[in-house]
Amino acid sequence: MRWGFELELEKGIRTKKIWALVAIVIILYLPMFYSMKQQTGITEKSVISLIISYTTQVSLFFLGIMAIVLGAGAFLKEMEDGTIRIALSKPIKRIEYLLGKFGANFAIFMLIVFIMTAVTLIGLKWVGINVGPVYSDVVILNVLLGFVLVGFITIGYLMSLSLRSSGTAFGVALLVFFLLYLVLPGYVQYKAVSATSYSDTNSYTHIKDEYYTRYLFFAPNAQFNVILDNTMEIQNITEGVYGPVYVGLGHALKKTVVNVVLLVGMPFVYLGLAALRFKRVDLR
Amino acid sequence: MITVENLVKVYKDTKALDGLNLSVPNGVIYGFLGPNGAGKSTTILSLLGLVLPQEGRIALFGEEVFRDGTFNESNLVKAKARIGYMPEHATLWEFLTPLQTLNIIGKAFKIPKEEREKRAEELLKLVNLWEVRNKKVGKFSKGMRQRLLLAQALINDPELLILDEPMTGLDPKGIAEFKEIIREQKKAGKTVFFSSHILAHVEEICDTVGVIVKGRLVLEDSIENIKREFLRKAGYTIIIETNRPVDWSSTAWNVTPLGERKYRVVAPEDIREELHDYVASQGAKILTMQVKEPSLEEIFLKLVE
Repeated sequence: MRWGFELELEKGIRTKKIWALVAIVIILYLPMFYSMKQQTGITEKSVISLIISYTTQVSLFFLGIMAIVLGAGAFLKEMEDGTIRIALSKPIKRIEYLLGKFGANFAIFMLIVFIMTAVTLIGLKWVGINVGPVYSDVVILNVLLGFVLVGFITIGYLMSLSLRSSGTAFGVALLVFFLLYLVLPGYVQYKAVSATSYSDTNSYTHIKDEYYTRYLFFAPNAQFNVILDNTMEIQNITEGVYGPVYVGLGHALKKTVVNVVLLVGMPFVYLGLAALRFKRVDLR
Repeated sequence: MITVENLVKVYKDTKALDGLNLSVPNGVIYGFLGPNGAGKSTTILSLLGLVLPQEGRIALFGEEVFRDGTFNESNLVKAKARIGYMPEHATLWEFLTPLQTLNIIGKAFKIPKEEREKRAEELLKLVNLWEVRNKKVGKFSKGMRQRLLLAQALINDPELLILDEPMTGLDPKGIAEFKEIIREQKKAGKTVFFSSHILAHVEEICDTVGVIVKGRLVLEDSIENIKREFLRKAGYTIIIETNRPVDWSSTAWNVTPLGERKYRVVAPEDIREELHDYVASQGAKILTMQVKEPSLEEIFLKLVE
C-alpha cells in the first residue's frame, strides 16, 4: 500500500492542473474578503455565513469537478498509458495499489483543504476580523468540504473502472457531477416545495433536508448542504420577530449525525465497490 | 518455470485463449509467436495476473497461481517478485527521471536503498541511459523508453524475464544490444519468455518456439526440430544447375524446370546423393546445388494458413 501511496502522491503533487485550480479558487475568494473589508461593523456570524456561502458555491463547484474528473481518469489513464501494467507486474496486490492510490488522493485533497483553511484565516485576519470565534467553524467547514471532494473522487473511481476510455469517463464524470450538483438537488427541492410551502422557510428546509437525506444519501454535496443548512436556525430575534440565526457548525454536526455519517462513510462504500470491481477488471 | 493448462479467456464475444497449453522449461529463451490477435499479449497478461481468464490453470516456479477463474494472490505476489516484465505499448511515468523510475520500481521489490542505487546505475549503463539519468522520461524518444522499460524489468535480477515485443521502436544498434542482453540472461541461467512478430529475431536468439494461433498453441519445439519436422512434411527443396538438360520422366520426384538447365526438385527426404547419381546416369553433371531451408517465417506463415 505504501508503494502505491508514494507513487500516486508524487504524481498528484506534480499535477499542475490541480494546483492551478486551487489557485483559481483562492483568487475567487479575494472579492469575498474585499467586500468584507468594505463593510463596517461586520459580525463574526455574518462573516462565517459568507464563507459558507462561498465554500458551497465556489470551492465545492470547482474543486468538486476537479475531484470527480481526477477520479474518473485515475485508472483509465494508467491503463491507456500502460503504467498500471508495469506497476501491477511488480509484487503488489491490486487492493494494496488501490488503497495506496486512494490514500494519496485523500492526502492531496486534505492538503488542499489545509491550504483553503489557511487562506480563509489569513484573509479574515487581513479584513480585521478576530478569527478566534470563527476558527473552529472554518476548520470544520473545510474538513467537511474535504470529505465531499473525497466522495467525488471515489465516485470517479467507479467510472474509471467501468468505462473503456478516459475521454468517455471525462464526459460521464461531468454529467454525473451536474446531476449530483444541480439536477437531482433541484428536483428534490421541487418535491420539497410541493410538499410544503416555500414561504414557510422552516418547514421547507426541514422537508428538503429530510428528502436530501433519504433520496440523495449517495450525493456527498447534498449531505454537505444538509449539514450547512443546520448552521442556521429560525429564532426569535427581537420580540415577535423571527429570523435565521447562525448557530455554528458544531451545533449543526450534532443535529445531523446521519448526514455526517453518510458524508464520511459513503466514500468508503464507493471505495469498497471500486475495490470489488478492480479485483476483477482486465488491465489490458 | 511456466506451466499453462487449458487456459480460456473470453473478452465479451471474442475468445482470446481457447484452451491454451504451454510449458516453458528453466534456462531457455522461449520465443512466443503468433499473428496479430492470436492471444500472445493475453497469455502474458494472464501469467502476471493482469487479466483474469475464465478457466484453466497457471503455475509459475512450480507454484499454482491461478485455477479456474481465481488467482492465488499470495502465490502470485511471490512469483512476481521473481519476474521481470517488459510490456508492449507502455510508457513509464513521464514526470520521473530514469533514476527515479528505477528507484521507485526497486522499492516495489523492497530492494534496500544502497543496492537499489547500485543496481540502477548498472542497468542505466547497460541500456545506455546513464548520460540522461536525470532527464524526465516525458522527453524521451521511443527507443529510449524501450531501453528504460528493459532496465526496469531487470531491476530485481529476475529469474524469469517476460518480454512482450521488446524490440519495437529500436534502431539496429539497439536491437543488437537487446539481443546481447537477452543472451547474457540465458548465460546467467535465467529464463526468457519472449514474444515477437519479428521472426528473424526469434530465430536468432530463441532455443524453443511456441506458436499460438486463435488462442491455441499449434506448435512448441526447438527451432531445429521444427525445421526438421517442417522439411519432413513439406519436403526438401533443392535447386540444381546442370551442364546439359536432364530428362526427369523416370523419377518420382517433383521437378520444376526453372530454366533450360536449372531445376527445382522437391522430395520427401534429403536426396542429394541420389540426385547426383541420377544426373550422372543421364550423362550430365551438377554444376551448382542449393538446398533451400525454410525460414521460421515460412514455417510460421504455413502454420497460420
